[in-house]
Amino acid sequence: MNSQFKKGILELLVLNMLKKSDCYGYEIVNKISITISISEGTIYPLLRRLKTDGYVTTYLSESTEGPPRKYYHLSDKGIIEHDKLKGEWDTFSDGVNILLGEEL
Amino acid sequence: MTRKNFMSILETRLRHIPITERKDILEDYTEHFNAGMESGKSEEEICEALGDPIKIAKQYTATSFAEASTKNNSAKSALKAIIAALGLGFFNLIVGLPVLIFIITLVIVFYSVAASIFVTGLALALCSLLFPFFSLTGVYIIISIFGGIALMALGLLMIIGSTYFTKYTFIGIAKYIKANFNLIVD
Repeated sequence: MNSQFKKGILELLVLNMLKKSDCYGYEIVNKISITISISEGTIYPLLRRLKTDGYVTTYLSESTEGPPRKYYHLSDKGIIEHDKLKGEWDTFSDGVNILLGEEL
Repeated sequence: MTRKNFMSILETRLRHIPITERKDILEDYTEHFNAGMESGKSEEEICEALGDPIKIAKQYTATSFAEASTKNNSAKSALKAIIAALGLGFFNLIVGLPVLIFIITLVIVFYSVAASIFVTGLALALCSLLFPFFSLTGVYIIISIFGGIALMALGLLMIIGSTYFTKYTFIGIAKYIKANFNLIVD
């Protein structure tokens, strides 16, 4: 898949995961990277940006093994951003699917 | 690459970022390594999947500079952000780079024109005062001196104007970079 394309969609995927439940970094990275081939290192800078922009908040929580982990939580602002991106993506992918369907 | 290598490269390359931010970033990767190794992956595998620490550091640096430039509201920090984004290949060569070069040229032209007008005014005023050659007499010398002073004032105003133009253009570009950041991750 085209890399520019993946990058734009990565933000939506992360927000979408967090909409379901709070996650820690490794969980997010792992889940996304087994489905889409992407350098895992790109997700942490993204998470950090989401935090600075106020879309997510973080808190530390004890883990069963080892030191506490940083959990990410979707803020109200993040929910709005998610819905906006999701809407854009749906419109876009519906359009592409219609066109691809026509060619068959 | 080993975990130690990865972390030390990342740390060195993050040196331009404020210490608290840097620590926070490094912690994220420490946690990532810990979690990965708990789930049975080797250091090597984790490093491989993370990608190049130099590239990762560049992303943080560029974001951090862009963030700082919108906070500081200064041309200098905006310029830093622009240069960092340039280093990431943010401006594509066909459209972005020519536009950037055009803007920078414009800034240089503004300053040059402003400076030339100032210098012309200065020369006119001084010449009229010191060497009243041009067979100027009486009232004309005064007019000429004041004309020179007026030009100097105009030049100064234009220099101030150029400073504002530079500042807000650079900040504008930095904001644009910040808004479009998800496009440059590589």
